Amino acid sequence: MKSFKVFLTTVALATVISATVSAPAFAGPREDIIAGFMAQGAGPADLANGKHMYDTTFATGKPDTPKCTTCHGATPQEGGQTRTGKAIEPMAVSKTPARFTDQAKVDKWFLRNCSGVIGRECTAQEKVDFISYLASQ
Amino acid sequence: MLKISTLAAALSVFALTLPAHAESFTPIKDPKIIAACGECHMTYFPQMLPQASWSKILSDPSNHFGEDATLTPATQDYVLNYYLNDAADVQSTRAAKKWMTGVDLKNPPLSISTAPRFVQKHSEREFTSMWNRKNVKSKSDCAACHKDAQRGIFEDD
Repeated sequence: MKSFKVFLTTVALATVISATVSAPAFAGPREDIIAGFMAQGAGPADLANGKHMYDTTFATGKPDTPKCTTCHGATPQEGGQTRTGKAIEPMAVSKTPARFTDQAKVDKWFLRNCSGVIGRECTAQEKVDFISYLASQ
Repeated sequence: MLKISTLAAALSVFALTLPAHAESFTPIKDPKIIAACGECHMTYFPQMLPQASWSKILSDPSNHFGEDATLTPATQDYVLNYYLNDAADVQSTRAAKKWMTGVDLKNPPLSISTAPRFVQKHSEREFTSMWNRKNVKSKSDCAACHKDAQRGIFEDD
């Protein structure tokens, strides 16, 4: 009987622990999207690499779009403008809270813009780095 | 008799001095078109180009005026059909007819800003400096000057 109680306690504890471990501190759509990229093989976020991606002139994609800031703001806190004159909200999550909360949009824009700016698709790791950097801004 | 001819002459002078009446377009409200096209630029009006032009412009979004505008295959089909269905050479509106004037279907324009109607309406010398205004990003930025462009109204020129 005692061993059954111990078993129950163990199961209960294990449940609590696994729930705590699998749920990030501030679970939400953005965290779910990051978790999805981690499930594709990405490790922990490298914020410095996220910043590097935002700031770097790659010039390996389309000639008209050599870097993120061709269209996006010079800093993540600033708005940008498409080449056709349409305003783009700042990328910093502190300025535009809805950033990276819609999986379809995230997929659409990574596909287009990694190809347009870098000339290839971004890796799951790069996506985690990029989103996490802008979530910290 | 003299009076009538005088009146006719006066009327014709009056007609010549009337401001050119710009055509209007039905605003685009289709949420799929707004999402697919309108996040980057104004949703241009299908009546501005013939089918042959839209077919070429919308057949390869991965190289869309220098940008990668890749869409899912289903969305790409939807957008192409939307523009083909209301193209200048199938629509019978006043705007469609005006935008077909001067179009060579064997050599269709590959952008709205090279369509004969656009060129004709922006041909005066004053436009040279207008294109260089700081707020005009490019000739694709209609709303920089035509504030109601997205509503299909271009009468503010």
